[in-house]
Formats: sequence, C-alpha cells, structure tokens
Amino acid sequence: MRAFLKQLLLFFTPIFVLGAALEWAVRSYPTIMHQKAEGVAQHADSIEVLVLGTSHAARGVDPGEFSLWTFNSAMGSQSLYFDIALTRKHLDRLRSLKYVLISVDYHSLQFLNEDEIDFMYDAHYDLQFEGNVDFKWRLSQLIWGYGVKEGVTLLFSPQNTCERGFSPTYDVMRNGLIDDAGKKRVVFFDRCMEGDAAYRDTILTLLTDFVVELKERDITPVFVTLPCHEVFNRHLDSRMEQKNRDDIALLCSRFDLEHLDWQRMPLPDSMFADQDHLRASGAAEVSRRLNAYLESRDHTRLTFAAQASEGTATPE
Amino acid sequence: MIFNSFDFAVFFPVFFVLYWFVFQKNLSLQNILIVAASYLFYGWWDWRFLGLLTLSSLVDYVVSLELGKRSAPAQRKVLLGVSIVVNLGLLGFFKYYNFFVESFIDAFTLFGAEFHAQTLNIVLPVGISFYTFQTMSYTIDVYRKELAPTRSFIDFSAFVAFFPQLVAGPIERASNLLPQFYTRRTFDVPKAIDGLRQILWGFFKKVVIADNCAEHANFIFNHSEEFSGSTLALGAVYFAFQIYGDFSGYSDIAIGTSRLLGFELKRNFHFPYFSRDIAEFWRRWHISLSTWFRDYVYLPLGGSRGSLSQTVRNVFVIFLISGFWHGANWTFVAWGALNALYFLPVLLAKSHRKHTDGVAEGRILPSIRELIAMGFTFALTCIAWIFFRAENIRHAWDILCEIASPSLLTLPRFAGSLKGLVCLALVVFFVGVEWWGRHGNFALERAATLKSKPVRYGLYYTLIGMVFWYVGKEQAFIYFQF
Repeated sequence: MRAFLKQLLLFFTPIFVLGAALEWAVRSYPTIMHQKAEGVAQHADSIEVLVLGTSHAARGVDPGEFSLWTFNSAMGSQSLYFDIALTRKHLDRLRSLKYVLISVDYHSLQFLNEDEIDFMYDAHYDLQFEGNVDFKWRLSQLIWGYGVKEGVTLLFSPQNTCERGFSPTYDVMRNGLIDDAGKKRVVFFDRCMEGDAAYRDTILTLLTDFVVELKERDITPVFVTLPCHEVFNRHLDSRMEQKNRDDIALLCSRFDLEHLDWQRMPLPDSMFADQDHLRASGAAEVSRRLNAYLESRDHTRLTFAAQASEGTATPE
Repeated sequence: MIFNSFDFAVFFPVFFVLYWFVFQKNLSLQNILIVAASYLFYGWWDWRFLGLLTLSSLVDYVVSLELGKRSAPAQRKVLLGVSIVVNLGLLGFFKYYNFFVESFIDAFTLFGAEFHAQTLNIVLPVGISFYTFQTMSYTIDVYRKELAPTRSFIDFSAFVAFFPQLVAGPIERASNLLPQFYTRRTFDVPKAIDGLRQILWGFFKKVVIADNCAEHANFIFNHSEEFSGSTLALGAVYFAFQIYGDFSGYSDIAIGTSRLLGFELKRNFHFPYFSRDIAEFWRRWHISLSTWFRDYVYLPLGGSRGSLSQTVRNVFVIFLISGFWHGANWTFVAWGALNALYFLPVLLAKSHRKHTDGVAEGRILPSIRELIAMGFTFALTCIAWIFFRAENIRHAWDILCEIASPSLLTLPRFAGSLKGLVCLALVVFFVGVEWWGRHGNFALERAATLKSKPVRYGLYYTLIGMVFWYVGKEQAFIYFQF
C-alpha cells in the first residue's frame, strides 16, 4: 500500500506542480476586471465621474472624452447589484466624486447576477453576491472559476489593457448588424429577466437606497440608457421598456434626477460593433455628448426625464 | 454526489483512508463504513430518499430470510410476490405514475370520452431503477434456491447501496457482489493501478467525449427543424457517442473505484460500436441490464425455445420492457420496439450467435466485410438512438424523414466549424484508442502492456490533461434519470 501511495504521489506531482503554476498565472493575470478593480482603488482620489453598468456602458463610454476625471467601472454582465456594491466599497475614498453615471439597460432592473463571473467579483473586489461564497472558487480559480480550458486560453490570449477602465478591444464587428442576431440577443435578455422577475422590487429598493446614499454625499447620480442598433431595438418588448422608463422616471422625480434615454439615438451603423454595443468611435461620440451634458448641467437644467418617458430625448 | 464533482474528490480519498487504514482489520466495521458512506453519497443528492433505499433493502432482506426458512411453494410464491409488488410498486409510482395517468387521459380523449385524473409533482429518486433491479434479482435468486439468504443486514445493505454502482450500475447480481462483503478484502497493487487506469478512461469518456458530443447533439436535436438531413444524421452520431461515453464512462469509473476497494464488479460494456450485428451489439451494450432481462424475463418466458410466435412475443417483451425501463416516455418504448425489429431477423435466422469472437482477432485492421458489418450495425443503432433522444415520436419521425431526404447529401452544418471539427477529431481519437484496446476489459487496459515508460506515461498525462482541459461544469450523467 505504501509503495502504491508513493507511486501515486510521484505520478501526480508533475500535475500538481503544473496546476499550481497555472493557478498562480491565472490569479496574477491582469484581466480587464483586475485592471478596473485596481484602477478604482488607485485613482480613488481623482475620480470625479464614475461609470457603472453592463457591457453596453463598458464598451460605450470612453472616459478620455470627459473634461472631468472619469473612470469606467462597467463590466460585461455586471448587474446593478454589483454596480452598487463596488461603488459602496470605495465610496469613502472617492472624495472627488461628483457624478455617478448609472447605465440602465433594457434588462437592468430585472437582472441580479451572472453566476459565471461571480467568482471574479469575489477575487478582485472582495464582493460576494448576497454574501454567498463558493469556497471552490477560492481554492482554484483555474478549475472552478474560469475552467481549465478558458483559464489556459486566457493566459495565451493577447492581453487586453484598459485606460481608466475603458478598453477599445471590442472594436471589431463580429456578427454584423443582422436582424436575427438582434432578435437572439433580445431573447437572451428576456430569459435573464424572466429568471429574475421576482427580484425587480428588490433591485429597485437597492437602487433607491443607493441614490439616497449618493445624494447625502452630494454626489449626483445620472441614469443613462446607451444607444443600441435598430436590429436590436425593434425586438424589444415595448411594455417592458415602458415599465423601465416609468420606474426610472419615478426615481428621477422623487430625487430630482435625470434619465438620458438614448436607446434609440440615431447613430451611423459604422459606430456599432454589433446589435447592442458601440465601437470605439461610437463610444467617443456618445461620451462627448455625455460630457457636454455634464458640463452644461449646472447652467441649464434640461428636462430629460419628461422627454425620456416619451423616448424622444436627445442631448443637444 | 457525482463522480466528476469536487465533493466526490474530497469524499473518496477520505473514505479510502478510513477504509484501508482505520477499518481494515475489522470486516464488519469496514462494511458498516461502506453502508454509511454509501448513504452519505446517495443522501448528498436528496436525503429524503434514503428512506426509500432503506425500505427496499429491508423488504428484500426480510423476504429472503423468510424464503430461506419456508419450503411450501405457495408460501414462497407469496413472499416473492410481496417483494416484487413492493419493489415494482415503488418504481412504478415514482417513475411511471404520471406517464400512465397522462396516457389514460390521452387514450380516453382520443375516443371522445372525458377522463379526469390528477398528475403529481413527483421527483424521480436517482438510481431507483438500478437498485430496485439489484434487490429484486437477489430475492428471485433466493426464491429459485440459487443463492442462500444472507443473515447480515449490514452486508445486504452494503450490497444494495454500494456507492460506486448505486446510482447508475452496473446492476450487480448478489451471487457476484454479495459474497465479496463476507470475506476480507486485501489491497492488490496491480489491481488498484488497473482500477486507476479504468477510472481515467471513464473520466475521459465522460468529460472529453460525452460532454463535448452532448453540446452538439443537444443543439442539433433542440433545433432539429432548422437543420438538413446530413446535420441531423451527424447529430445522431454525436448522440451515439454521447450516450456511450456517458454511460460506459460511469461504469468504468464505478468498476475502477470498486477495484481500488478490493471489489470486482461485472463488465457492463464491451466495445458495443464494434459489433457486427445487432445481436452482438446487445451482448456488448449495458450487459448487466441485458443479462438481467435475459435471466429474469426472457428465459422464464421460454426464450427462443418455443414456437415462432412465442419467440417473437418474448423478444418484443424484453425489448419493450427494456425501453420502458429507461423512462416513462413512448420514445423509449419505440426505441425498444425498433431494436426488437432489428434483433428478430437475426434470431430467426439463427445467426445471433454468429459473432461471439472478438472483431479482427489477430489483425490490426478489420476486413472490408467486418467494416461494412460494423458500419451497418452502427447506423441501425444511430437510427434507434434518434427515438431515444427525441422529445416525442413525432419529433423522431420528423428527424428521420429529413435524414431520408436529399438534404442528407449536403455538407453538414458543423463540418466547417472549428468546435465541430475538434469534437469529431476527439471522437476519432477515442474510437482509435478503443479499437487499439478492444481485446481488453476496457480500452486503456492495453496501456499497461506498453513497454516504453515515456510513451505509457505520456498517454496517461495526455488523457489527464484532456480531462482537466474540458472539466469545468459538473455535468450529470444521463443514466441518473433512469
């Protein structure tokens, strides 16, 4: 038996060594979220505008176009739950923060988390969805976080870098602006919302508390719905869209906030990377308009909330 | 708990240490440990169903003890009846209640009558079909006086609940497994190493082959209306390898794990896709179930010894029951019926024993004739798998119609995609290794004969690397649902 166990140990030693090396490499790999997490902590004193949201905002808001010091904390599949949690985590240190741009997409008010990437919030922000921690993530991000295949592929992929949280690496149109792709994407969001329908009130309560907290600190939250292409927009459930607008409008009127509903902002096709994401050029254009809004905000109070509820809002 | 889970990766080493280092000297304690670990293994999924497992064990234990005491045929028949009614009653309720209710409603509606009955929200206990058949075989063997009843409830519980094969087989016979609980197990290094080899091959089959094929098979079957005949045929091939990799992979892990504990389980698969006719396929596929039906249903009905009509009846009975055993859906019944139709001509032509030798004995490659025979048998099997995998009979029929259309001659959709090609390459590699090791108990067994240590270890590390490469989500085994 001893000889057997010794043989077994010897046999598995190279596997353990290789596994440990890969685990270390994956943990220290500077993923976009890793860079964002470090960026927020590192620039906490400078950040004046913080951008929150999903991939729409991650790809659609370029901090380089803002005159105020802006950082993009948005991330693919990042729910409002994590938007709020990661802002709260740094709030005491974000002394210069004036505006928080909260991207509210079609599905934002009925989407809680994406368990595929929850481990990354635990690893990079020390944030857990509803306090749940799967200790397996902590034991091995390679096996139970990324998965060996994805983890190793990540290590050998070209490294993505981001500037103030914005990475222009998605500047490639992979699928084209195809109606079917738009439809499939909407079906995907509808499924997400269907799964989390029971949590809509919880999310709205979280959002309301967050707004209160920001207002108490003299920070202005601004709701933004970023542009998507018509091949996507035409498949959206109009009742759900109206419900979203109504809920945000209620918050806006209650706390004197504004909602920049740019879902259907007319932009040339060349500014879209796919049906619901902007390219770098689109992000630059939208960010310039956002910047103009923030600059003019103190001079002229535009009544976007009212226009937004009609879906006709434009920043100019 | 499933084999390809983190939980099992913690559970088994702990159990192994306790089994060999703490309880080795006391057989009773070792068997108690097996029962406790097996109940933990099963209860990890849903502890409420442990009662069912205990009840099934208790009934057959008591009935068999009584059978051992009584000699009056009438009394013995009653006792056997009690066991069968309880076991099949539980199985019928949990697995088939809703199916029968719905089928009755459909039948009444078809004839214009109204029939109201409520279906129930029943959770199917994992592995119920497997352990029910295992306990029943014990009682039947005792009834037939082929086996002496055990006096130890612990030994019997260990036999019923033995965790490596509890939830998806092989369905063990008491005559093989039960005596192994009576004698002290010794740790045999070559046997243990062979067990590890079989476990590795099982994981490869499950994680690399079955789970990869599942991705494509699921996509094709779930969107079958969008695909050409060639893609649907490819989907059937993917499913054939999915179910083989999944189920035989589980059996390999179960047998290998048992060998690490000093037990020998029955072989459950013998390279079925190298069969040259359907009779050979059924001698090589899910052997423990096929032989169960042969010994406890087919032969008592007369087998092929009676008239032609009796033989036809008997063949249909076992294949239909076998299909029904897999699940409460008419698709499984159709799968069984189709296999009966395949089998019958071979049986009636008395050529069902034609291929009892190994394929391409003493040769590296098969002859053209063998290749055609294997290809034809595999094609027949794939057609039957379409019924097994389809949502309903209509779905299967639509797929078959599309496959029979000229679109079969077009290029399959996945032929050009990298993922599809990788999956096909994995299947080709898998078939290659299976062919290479076809004369052993499992394909990788032959690796032990490789003289070059670097080649041997290279093969092991490659397989382990591939398993880790694809491991991630803990995919349940298909046969858990049965």
